[in-house]
This record gives sequence, structure tokens and C-alpha cells, in this order.
Amino acid sequence: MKNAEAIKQQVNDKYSQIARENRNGGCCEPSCCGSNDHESFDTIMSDDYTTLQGYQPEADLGLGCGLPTQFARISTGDTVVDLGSGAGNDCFVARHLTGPEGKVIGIDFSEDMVAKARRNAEKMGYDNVVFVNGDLEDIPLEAQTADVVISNCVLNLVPNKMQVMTEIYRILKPGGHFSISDIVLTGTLPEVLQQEAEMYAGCVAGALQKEEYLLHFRAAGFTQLMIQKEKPITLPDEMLARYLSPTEVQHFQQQDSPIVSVTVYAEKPKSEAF
Amino acid sequence: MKKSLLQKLCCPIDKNDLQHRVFKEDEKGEIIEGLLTCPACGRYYPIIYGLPIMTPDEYREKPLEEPVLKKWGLNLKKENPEKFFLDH
Repeated sequence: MKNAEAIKQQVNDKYSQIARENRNGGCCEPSCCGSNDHESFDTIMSDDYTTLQGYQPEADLGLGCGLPTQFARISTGDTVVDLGSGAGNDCFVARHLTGPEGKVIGIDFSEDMVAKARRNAEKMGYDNVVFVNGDLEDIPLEAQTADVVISNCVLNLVPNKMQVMTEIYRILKPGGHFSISDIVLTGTLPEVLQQEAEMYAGCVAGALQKEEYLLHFRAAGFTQLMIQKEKPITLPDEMLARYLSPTEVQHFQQQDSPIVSVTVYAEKPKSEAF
Repeated sequence: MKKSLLQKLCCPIDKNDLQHRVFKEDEKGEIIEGLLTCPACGRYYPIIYGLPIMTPDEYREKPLEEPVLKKWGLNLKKENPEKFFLDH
């Protein structure tokens, strides 16, 4: 594994390039999925947004792995913070739920992504959806800002996950909650896949074991922790073949996929227990 | 960005409240260009094209920010070039 700073730089470069080229990719990039076609990408990790209110095709780069907004219990007037907001896809769906009286703040590590998201917000005429270029390990928001935190397939990209979870706790109001979609592991990845930074930017090599992931949230102080949705992810043979021998690919595909997309929910207690 | 966002932003590093200056607004009173500074650590965070740039030092791009700062009549501190501090 490369050092944290190098990994973050690589993640930034990759997603900035995606923003500039206005293409799909990222969590399982198109070249490794064998196609730049949106549909084939969807079948690997993304869920279908097209039926959701507030959906804007231009803001959907196909980079998510779940539908956190569907499970996030967002109420009218809420302040929602989206961590790793990309081109703004989940922010706009969240904005539909908060209504004009709410607020949606999207934070993304890539300047190009926030610029793209801002243009999308302008096109939609949403003046209560704002974007900030920031790091999830050092969130530039005041404590107790958010009623709801959402994030879609981003935390696995961040090297220091415990710090992000502590930051989520800090920015949530007491009694607030999060719903986060992410990639976790339920078994071991072959060594070569773990080490590949390219797989990292594609969300797989940076993923934690599921139990460890959930323990991190508990350690950060969250309660009512639950998994709202769980779905195994199958990597295409062509992608694996770039890192593994044909025999290894066959062996990998015969077992249950150790890569799982989860949507996790938890609450910040109304009053601190200590 | 809307001015109401200012009260929700803090220094990403030490979480202190920020001071702000506005250099350009649009017709709705939203900040298009401006500067956020942390009175505690002295770091600055520019608002460019309505977007606050608030990533930690090691991910900021000085060559991109310097011309914008110059335009605003601001200069980076010479004696501490690796940090994002301004010469007042």
C-alpha cells in the first residue's frame, strides 16, 4: 500500500479527470469493465436513480454503489451534508426531499468535481445546494451542522476512515443520523489486488472488512447502527485478468464475492453518554 | 456561494471560526470571489468561482491560487512558502 498522501492524490487525479471528461467511471472504471457504456457500468455497482425525483442525468456519472438518499430518512427543511458529492447527483435527489426550506452541502476532494456540481446546481436553479472543495478527513464545517449525512461509495477511498467517522460525528447535530453506501469486504482479496492503487481509486482495494467498518462507526460514538441494504459485487473477468492469472481469476470467481456494497445507517445520540 | 454558508464553515485544520472578505458578488448577493482566513492558525482559503477551496495544505495548488491572490492585491508569505499564509 502506498502512503496515504500519494493515494489521495491519485484518487483526486482520477476523479478530476472524470469530471473534466464528463464520463462515467470511478468505482470500477469503464476501461476495466470493458465498456464506457452507462448501462454496463450500472450492472456492476450503481443502482438505478432514473426513477427518483430530483434526478438529473448530467449529475449522474455512474460513480455510486447504492442509493443512500432512498434510505436516509430526509425530512423537509433538513440540512443534509453529502460527503464526496461528485457532480452533485445525490445532493439533487436530497434537495428534492429537503425542499426549498432545507439546505444541502456537498463536499468533494476534487476541485473539478465541485466546479461541475456547481454548474449543475445553477442549471437546476437550486440556490440552497452548495458545494465546498474539502477533505473528508478534515471537514471544513462547524460542529452540529447536519441533520443528515449521506455518502455514496466514497469512504473506501479515504485512507484514514476512523478520522472521517469522527468528523461525521462532529458535524452531525445531536439526534442526527447518517446513511452511507460503501464498498466493504467479507473475505480476503488476493494480495495483488490489495496492493494496486488503481484498484484503490476504483473503490475496492481501500475497502475495510465489514465488521471492522461497523466497529469504526461504533467507536466513533454512533448508536442504532444497522445495515439497510447489502448486495454482493461481482467483478468482471476482464478486470481481474489485468491483475490475476486465468487460474486465479477462475478461482476468484468460483467463491462468493468478497466485495459487498452496503448501505449503513446510524444515529448520533441526542445527549452525550459521557 | 450564499453568505449564509459562511456561518457553517470553519477552518478544516483547527475548526476555528473564519473571517471573510468579499471581492466579487453576483446580482443575487452570492459570493463569487472572496477570501476566508483563520485567525487562529493564519491559513487562508480562497473562494473562487463561488467555491470555497478548503482542502488541507498538501493538496492545494499554489501556482493556480497565486495569480488570483495577486489580482486581489494579496501576496503569500515569503518566509513560509510551504504553508498557505498571507503577507498582510
